[in-house]
Amino acid sequence: MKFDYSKLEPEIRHLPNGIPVYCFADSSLELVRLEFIFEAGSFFQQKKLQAAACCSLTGTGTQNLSAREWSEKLDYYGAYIERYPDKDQATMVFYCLSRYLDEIIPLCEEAVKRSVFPQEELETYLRKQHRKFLVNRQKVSEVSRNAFYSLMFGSHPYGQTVAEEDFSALKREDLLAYYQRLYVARNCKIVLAGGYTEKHFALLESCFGGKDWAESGSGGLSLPMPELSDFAGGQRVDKPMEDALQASVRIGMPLCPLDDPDFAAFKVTDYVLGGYFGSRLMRNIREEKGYTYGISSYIVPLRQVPVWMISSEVKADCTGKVLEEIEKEITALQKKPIRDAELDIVRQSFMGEFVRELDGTFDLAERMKFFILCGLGTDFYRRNEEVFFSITPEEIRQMARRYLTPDKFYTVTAGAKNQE
Amino acid sequence: MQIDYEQTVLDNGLKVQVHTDRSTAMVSFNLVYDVGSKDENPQKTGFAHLFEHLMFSGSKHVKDFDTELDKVGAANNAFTNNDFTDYYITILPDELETAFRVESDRMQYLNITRKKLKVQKGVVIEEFKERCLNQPYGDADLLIRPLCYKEHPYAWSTIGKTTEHIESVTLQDVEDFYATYYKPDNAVLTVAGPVEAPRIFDLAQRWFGKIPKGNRKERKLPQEPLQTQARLVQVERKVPTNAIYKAFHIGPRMSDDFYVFDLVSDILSNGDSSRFHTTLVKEKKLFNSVNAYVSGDIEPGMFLVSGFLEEGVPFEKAEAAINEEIARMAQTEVGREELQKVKNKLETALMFSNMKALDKAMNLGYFELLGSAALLNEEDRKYREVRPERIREAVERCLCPSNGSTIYYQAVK
Repeated sequence: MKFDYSKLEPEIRHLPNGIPVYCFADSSLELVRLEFIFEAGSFFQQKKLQAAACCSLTGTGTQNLSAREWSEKLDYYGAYIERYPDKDQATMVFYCLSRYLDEIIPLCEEAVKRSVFPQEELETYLRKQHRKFLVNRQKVSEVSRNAFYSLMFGSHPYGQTVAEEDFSALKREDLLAYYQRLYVARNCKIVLAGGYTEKHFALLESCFGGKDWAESGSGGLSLPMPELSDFAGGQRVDKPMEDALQASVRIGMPLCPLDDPDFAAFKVTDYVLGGYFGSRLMRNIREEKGYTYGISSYIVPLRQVPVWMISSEVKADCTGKVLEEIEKEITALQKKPIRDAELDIVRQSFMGEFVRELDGTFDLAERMKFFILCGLGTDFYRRNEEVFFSITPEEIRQMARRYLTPDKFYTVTAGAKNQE
Repeated sequence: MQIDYEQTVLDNGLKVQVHTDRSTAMVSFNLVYDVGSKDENPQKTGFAHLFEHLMFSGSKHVKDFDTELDKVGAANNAFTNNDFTDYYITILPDELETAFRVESDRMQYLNITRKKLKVQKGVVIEEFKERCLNQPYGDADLLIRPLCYKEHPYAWSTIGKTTEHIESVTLQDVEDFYATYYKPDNAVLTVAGPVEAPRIFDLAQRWFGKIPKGNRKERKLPQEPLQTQARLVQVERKVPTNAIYKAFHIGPRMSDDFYVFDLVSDILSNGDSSRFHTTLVKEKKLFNSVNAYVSGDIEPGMFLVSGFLEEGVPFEKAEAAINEEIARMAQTEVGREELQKVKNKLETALMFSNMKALDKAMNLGYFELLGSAALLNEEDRKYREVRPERIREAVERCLCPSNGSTIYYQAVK
């Protein structure tokens, strides 16, 4: 299978103040995707909910426009915004018709540079988030997610979970301080994709290229790096939940960095175990036993330390059996080298998925956020492909032995019945 | 927006459509069968969807369906709704014939064993729990449908009324359903991507041409009698906050009603500047969030409202506030600018929903089921042509209390 890696290489331009703009021009599209990436995820916050609230409330009230006026305008042009306050990054993505991009860029400018976080908007936001928090407390998958990160990371920012009192503690000043410190040109990257013209680029330049928002407010951009624990592993937490019909199961561990020489080979091993529909976990636990609608393993790319995880929602009274079967599948990978026929399927399936995921201009643009997060380039994917096609069954077995060691795992269940 | 295609019909009735799109590296192969949960026996609901799972059981010449496709790096999946069942594959152009081979084989020679049926019942029941039963508010759709529909089979969700219905399915049911609905004259095949129509038509003839026609009888669904009185039920569930669900009968997918109410739902609840958000959530603080949407079913469908109440707000007060917003639309015509806003939003949405070759293949297939794939290219115009007076009239006609069903979803500890 051939993949043209050059498609993934953006044209990199710079605004006068130094902001890099990663460009994926595609004149066949009448749509534009414009993304602003800030290193402003919850990792950097000093108060819980601070990062998420700040990102989610950009544009809801600015120096020149009320929340209502701003959203009226955005809506009027059929545009919309998605905001992603993640653990490491905070991003805002605008989508609009090319012919309205001239109207949208100034609205982006208001949101990105001139948000004022009106008290009323913060209250509405907190009301909504609080309800979501209450609902999530009843969802097995959310309960287990929080318990997992908290078990693995403890007091490190990646392990933070929100509690009832955090909703009343967050103040408007917290958002302003965070915004002034981190939503600045020096901390910003832009990804521009779709059917835009040089005229649009010039407008982007005039709105975002100035020195007016270059420097960070008090506190500066960098913080002392929080210490990670030594990840002893071998811990398990069970969260009972009344009347749960399904239990959520999560098993995971910290992983080597994405640029580690072992990473690509581990990725193959992960793929065999739970990375695709025909994986060993799916075949066994869904297709043979019918204990679940789906089970998978995957890598969560956190910047300081990536996390590898298996997760599934399973028949509540079969939780113990599912854990046993997972362990059996891992042992099988460690004991018996994979057969060539299966490895061949894994190779084709992996590459097929990769080609599909990067099939459109917006998909390519979306990938930039990941490259920026990990400080990697397209070589990362080239290497993955190379390793998928050169790895031997014995090397996969070695990877399973080296990394998939259950005494290093963190295990969480939520909603399980008949715990043994 | 213009999506061009070529079409032919094989002698056995299979419709084949091709859309050429050279901007993609993959070919999308979409086979839609004209059978959905509305065609089910009311005692065995959820069956059409269970059957969709069984279509992955392997067939005479294709022992393992997914593996054959994985081997060539293709992806595939399927979904079922009230109206139809859709199977799709994305595959590299060089491997395209594999898609024809495996799909034609399972249209003729599906292998279903007792064991596969048993396992997939288990999988589907877990899916039922994961989507509906083990989620806060997850059963709302299961509740509102039978309240809104008394005769028509839209009275149940695609997942089924209960897990017992899924348990009760027999191997004989499976065989009968397969023999009735999985036939070339009950399907539309659409291929989109870097392909040429003549080659696709040849491949279709080679792989599907010899499959015998079915003898499905004309679909005769019970019609829903006109609702004349408001319906209200109250349920208690262990959820954090109270919720309201409302459903009103509207016209079928291809009637003017659909376009009008799609716009109405956007006026009410799409975006931060929408009426529900600005009035009910921000100004009056009665709701935490409140949404309106159309079900989009082929036959006469529903206009739905769902809202989560703020703590301490009585149901009656919350409902009255929704009704007031609706009444405002029945009394006063929507202004030009507000209407233009939601039309612009729909233009963006239409553009996004037809961006990829797979989207276009699915949409062309779906509109062919609705009458003609050409209708896809009319969508844009139909939205643009909606006038304010038409909106006012439709809201007055359909969103009146006597045409509505309401659920008070009461939170208990």
